[in-house]
Amino acid sequence: MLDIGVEYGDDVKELIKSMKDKYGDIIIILGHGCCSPTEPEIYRSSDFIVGSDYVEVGRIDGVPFYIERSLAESYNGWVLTLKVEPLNGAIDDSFSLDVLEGVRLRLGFKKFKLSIPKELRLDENMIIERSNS
Amino acid sequence: MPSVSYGKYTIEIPVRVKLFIDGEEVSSSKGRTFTRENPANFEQTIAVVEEASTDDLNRAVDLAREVFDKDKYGWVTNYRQRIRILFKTAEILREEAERIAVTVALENGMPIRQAKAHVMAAAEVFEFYAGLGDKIYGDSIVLSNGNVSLIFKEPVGVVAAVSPWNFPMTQAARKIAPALAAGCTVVWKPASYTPMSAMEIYRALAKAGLPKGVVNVVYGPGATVGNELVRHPKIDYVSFTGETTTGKLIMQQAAAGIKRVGLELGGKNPGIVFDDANIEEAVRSIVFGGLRNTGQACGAISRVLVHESVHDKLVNRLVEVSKSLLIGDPLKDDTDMGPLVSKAQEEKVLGYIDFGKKAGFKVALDGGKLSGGIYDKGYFVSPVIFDDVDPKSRLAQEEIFGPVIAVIPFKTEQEAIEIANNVIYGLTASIFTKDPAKALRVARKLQAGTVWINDAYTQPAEGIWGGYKQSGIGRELGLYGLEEFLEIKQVYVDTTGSLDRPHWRTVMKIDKL
Repeated sequence: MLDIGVEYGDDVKELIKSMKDKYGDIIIILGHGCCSPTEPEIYRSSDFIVGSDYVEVGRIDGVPFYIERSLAESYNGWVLTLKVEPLNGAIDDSFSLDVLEGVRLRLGFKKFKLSIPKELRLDENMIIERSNS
Repeated sequence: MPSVSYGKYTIEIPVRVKLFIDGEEVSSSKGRTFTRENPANFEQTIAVVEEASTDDLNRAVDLAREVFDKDKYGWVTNYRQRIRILFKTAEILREEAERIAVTVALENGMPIRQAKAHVMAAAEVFEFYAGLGDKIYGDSIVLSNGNVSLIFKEPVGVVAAVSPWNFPMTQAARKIAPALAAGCTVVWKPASYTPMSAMEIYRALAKAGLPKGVVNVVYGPGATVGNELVRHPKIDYVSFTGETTTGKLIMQQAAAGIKRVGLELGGKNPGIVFDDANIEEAVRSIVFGGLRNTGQACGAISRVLVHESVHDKLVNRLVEVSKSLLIGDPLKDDTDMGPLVSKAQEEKVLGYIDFGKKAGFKVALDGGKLSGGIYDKGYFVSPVIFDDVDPKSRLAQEEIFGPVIAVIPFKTEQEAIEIANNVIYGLTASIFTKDPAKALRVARKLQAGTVWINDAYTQPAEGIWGGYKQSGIGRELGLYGLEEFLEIKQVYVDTTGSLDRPHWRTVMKIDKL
């Protein structure tokens, strides 16, 4: 059973909205491994087939946020906090589209405070989504 | 003009780094540049780099395509020429190793002693593939019907190479040297953090006599230059080392044109210490394998799986040796660990340290962000060792790419194997035991592209490099690293001259004509 929260503010919503306007359908994927920080990557949805290897942990302005199914257990009980940080000219070799806007969607974590009783869950894989706004 | 010095070498900064297209160092056609800061002193701009436009990229690809398709300069056919150039490149890198090492240390943050070895290792990769340049053998089969099937190995075509910053010379050499030995042409996007190391390689190639357009180098962000390069329709093969999700994106993009891909991605590598291990040997190997390059290595040991009976002894000694490392200026000879490569990397590593503490794991060595003196101007982070880490936690599942080690105790051999394999990656592993049978038995069961027994993270050019599972696809280095850049063609030769052939007759009555 997964309790993974996603928390974000207006900065994230505005970025996602502007990127949707610019690129059409987009997705957010938690990237990981090797030479780049573990961070959300924003791709055109037509560029990346998610398939069953990923689980959706939330939606931001209708844009799905996916993390890898095999990593999801290690995120159980945590809230993924998203914020927008300006790159301020810093180099970023990620293929994520937000780089082209001069910003990166950054990831933070905090412990889940909410405890949802089992009988109140819609299904056993229910994900909890929250927004600061 | 400000400068940076090491021994007899002085580099005036910022260094202007240009694109390398058609054998010339050229500026961006759009006049765009980006800068690289010194990771050991972020107040210093050490390089101003020309950023490739789409036009520059297209020109680079077109030139590489033309050289390959027209066999200009006899590049594709004349392997003796290629061998001479690769040997000469190795010789230049070796002769210039100390000077180039200063550049590597400056832009990567790699300690100078390591940087010198790193440049020499890159030279060895060029030398190794130079030696293979006239050993690309095909095969022949005399068939049961008397005919002959000839097997030729041919260069795959135009290669897009996207290389990382953590070992900027060797990682690039692993792609470029075998591609050139095979007779391919290359368009190379080096990591933006290490543009000068790439410049040293293309200058060495040019000095060695590389014909124009065979290797073209384009700098710029992954989201533009990298993305456009790997999906370019005139590219035949994409060789990428970097972030795992980007690797997946590249693979999906490559599917559209059935481009060949070689992907070297992340790792979460175990060092397994059995109860009969030489503890001192294990500790030194783990420190070398886990903290070298400040842990910024995809093959680094980041999980230490230790038998419960030797747990305390190992952890105590691991803490002691890790604490003894000198962290500081990469351009000082006694430095063991330099800074992390960037602010983003530092934030990521500190985020994991914070996560480990919030998750309540025992902290055996409490390092982290360093401050005071030169530390205030660089991305210096000292080693952190978490103990009794839950194997399912993020600390034990995700690649941190920093000086953070997660210790996980185990009771049985089977349990150690299960923990070792229970990650999405499968790049490397180390086994520490005095029992050779156990070492081989466990090595066979580990899902990893490289397994070291009683050592860690040493990688000869003759060996192989690559991963199981999400650590990638394909292999670099060694003979396998050359095969990646070769297509295999069969030529079937009829030796009978007969107009009455059994395989015709079986299907059609054309033998009666």
